[in-house]
Amino acid sequence: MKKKTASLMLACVLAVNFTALGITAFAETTEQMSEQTTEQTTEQTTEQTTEQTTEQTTEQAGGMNQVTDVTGREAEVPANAQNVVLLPGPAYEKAMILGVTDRLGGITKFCNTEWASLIHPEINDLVVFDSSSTPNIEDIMNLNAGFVICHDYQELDEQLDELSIPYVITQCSGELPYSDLEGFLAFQETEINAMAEAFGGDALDRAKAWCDYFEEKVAYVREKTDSLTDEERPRVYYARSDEGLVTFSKNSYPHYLVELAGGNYVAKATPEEMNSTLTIEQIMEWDPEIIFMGRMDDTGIVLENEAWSGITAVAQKQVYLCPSGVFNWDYSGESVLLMLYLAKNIHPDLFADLNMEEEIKNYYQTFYDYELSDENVQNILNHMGPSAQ
Amino acid sequence: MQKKKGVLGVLILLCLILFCAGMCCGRFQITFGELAAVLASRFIDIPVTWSQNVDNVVWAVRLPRLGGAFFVGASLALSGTVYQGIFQNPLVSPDLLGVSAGACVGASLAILNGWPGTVIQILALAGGLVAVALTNVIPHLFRNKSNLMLVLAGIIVSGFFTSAQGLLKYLADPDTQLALITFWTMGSLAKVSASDVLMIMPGMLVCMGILICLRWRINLLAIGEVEAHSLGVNITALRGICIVCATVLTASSICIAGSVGWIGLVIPHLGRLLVGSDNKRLVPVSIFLGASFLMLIDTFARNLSGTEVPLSILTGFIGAPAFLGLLLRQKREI
Repeated sequence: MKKKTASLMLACVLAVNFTALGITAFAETTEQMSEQTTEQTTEQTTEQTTEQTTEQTTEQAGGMNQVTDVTGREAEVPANAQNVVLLPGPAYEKAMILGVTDRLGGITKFCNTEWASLIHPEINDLVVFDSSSTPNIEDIMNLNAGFVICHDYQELDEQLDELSIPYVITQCSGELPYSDLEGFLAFQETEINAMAEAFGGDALDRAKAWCDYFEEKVAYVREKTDSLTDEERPRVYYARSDEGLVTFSKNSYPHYLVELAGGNYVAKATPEEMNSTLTIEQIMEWDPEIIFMGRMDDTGIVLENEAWSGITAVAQKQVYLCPSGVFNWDYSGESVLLMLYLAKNIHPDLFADLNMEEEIKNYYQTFYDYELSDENVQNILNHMGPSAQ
Repeated sequence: MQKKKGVLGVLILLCLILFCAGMCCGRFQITFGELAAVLASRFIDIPVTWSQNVDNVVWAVRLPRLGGAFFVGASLALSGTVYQGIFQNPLVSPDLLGVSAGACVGASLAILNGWPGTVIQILALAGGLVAVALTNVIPHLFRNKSNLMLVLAGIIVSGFFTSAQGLLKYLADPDTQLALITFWTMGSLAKVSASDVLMIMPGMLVCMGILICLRWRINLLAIGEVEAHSLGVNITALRGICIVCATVLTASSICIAGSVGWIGLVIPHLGRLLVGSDNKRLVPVSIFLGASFLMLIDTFARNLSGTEVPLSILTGFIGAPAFLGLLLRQKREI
């Protein structure tokens, strides 16, 4: 009898555990996004701490920089701060634009893409954090980080507050601070400006240059697409990942980028923001006329799948890969290039004068001070790394 | 007792109704007439008046999904019934011997290495079988073959594989692999294709057949090891065959749908409420009850919103309260 009761209880405990595990696992994926494989660099932490102490003295000599971040929060960070930690995925490419990569101490693993390390090999010397939301806080303290660039993850921000580590929020994980096109456009500039204000000095001018470029390109595209009627805007589906069934939902960057480029973003009808896993029937119901493959490198995923074959875009072979550079084009400073790329593919006739290869070369030259070869450009356009992989 | 005679017939009818309802419901609108015409068009020659999408929804999306739901639901419920019979423990589910955890590790390993779908399925099956084999080895180490020892071994193996699973998730690329792994651990029929269902069907049918034939012998196991032995039944062989069949059923289910919780635990209880605990009647009833339940759940998963809901979330939300209700009711009857 005792045996029975014991096994009964054990089975109960097991059953409850499994359910709980499952639900946490589901929550995890919805929270996480961005690219790159793991890189373990715990040894580097100790190595770097020795350098830090000397640099700290210069840091204290300067004043403070006032920053208003994307949530409207006021922050004060030390001017000339060193060993800055970048926790959001789309952050290193902005540090490159701002010319402050030499002032970094750590990044998340998502930042370390092949293109980033081609242009700035020193990215491999930085301390790598495995998570944007729950980084090892002692690693940040070890670095003696001048300040931290992060998401609006409440628990992390409270922890940083407690430890008096200054931080600037440049990405939102929960509720987005905008819900229309103008808000989205303003957000792009606020994001890079917040980072520039924190770093101060030259960064401010470089942010200004990027914002000017951004406004110029948006104006160029809008001039051609604003007057399009609803009938002239094809239905566009942006397949983010996972066999094409995961998409970016309403108010995401791709939502507004596609609409700017003169398309009708079908997934804006989803109830939630950020990512959604869709049913194939929902996509059939929308029947997109053009499909862009976000973070995948093979159009065959949808072109060779029988269930997709009746969808207009697939039947008419209107399926395009999305390029990928220093960071994913759909969520970074390079989103402005994605807007151009989308426009070129959605309305080839309207954008006949647009030369994507030149735009990419020009962008990398202007903002990263790097000259891409023709082969580089082709690899970027085909969602491949510099070694064509 | 008389009114319970027709239970199996009613359940088969319920299965058919749910199947038809599932075929009609979906985010993509098709009328009943279109559905009938599309189905009939494969057998008789009628002019095509519908779009390619309609054809695909019926043949490439809904039919494989409902077929998958039928077999996965039936298998999980059947293996749950068998496990509960063997272990004489009403709280046992197919996860008990580590099948689910092992299968998930196998699948995750394949996903991490970027291997194709078939390999994922084969490794899932292999992982499930390895886990159960390990679980069966542990009692030998202690020279203690009691059920309790086997259950404890199952907990050890499950625990180990769950951690391995956690490690693999940690290593996974959050962009492409993590979502896929999570879908495996939460269960989903979203990506089931006709070839997937056809691939697992033979093995499932064989195992189901064996268990259906052995169903009256499972009763002997349920009356207790010593008693059954005294009746001249080779307990070890019988238990072995039942465990292998139930494991293959569970692992094959995990192959195509990931791990779907609660069905193997709750459905046998519901079955017992309907026809009593005689496995002779309980086994077939569980099969159709499980199939109906998962077809219903999957129809919800496809229809609740435009986004896909993992099956275990729904089975948990429905299964857990239902289980509580069942337990309360059984207690009152006792």
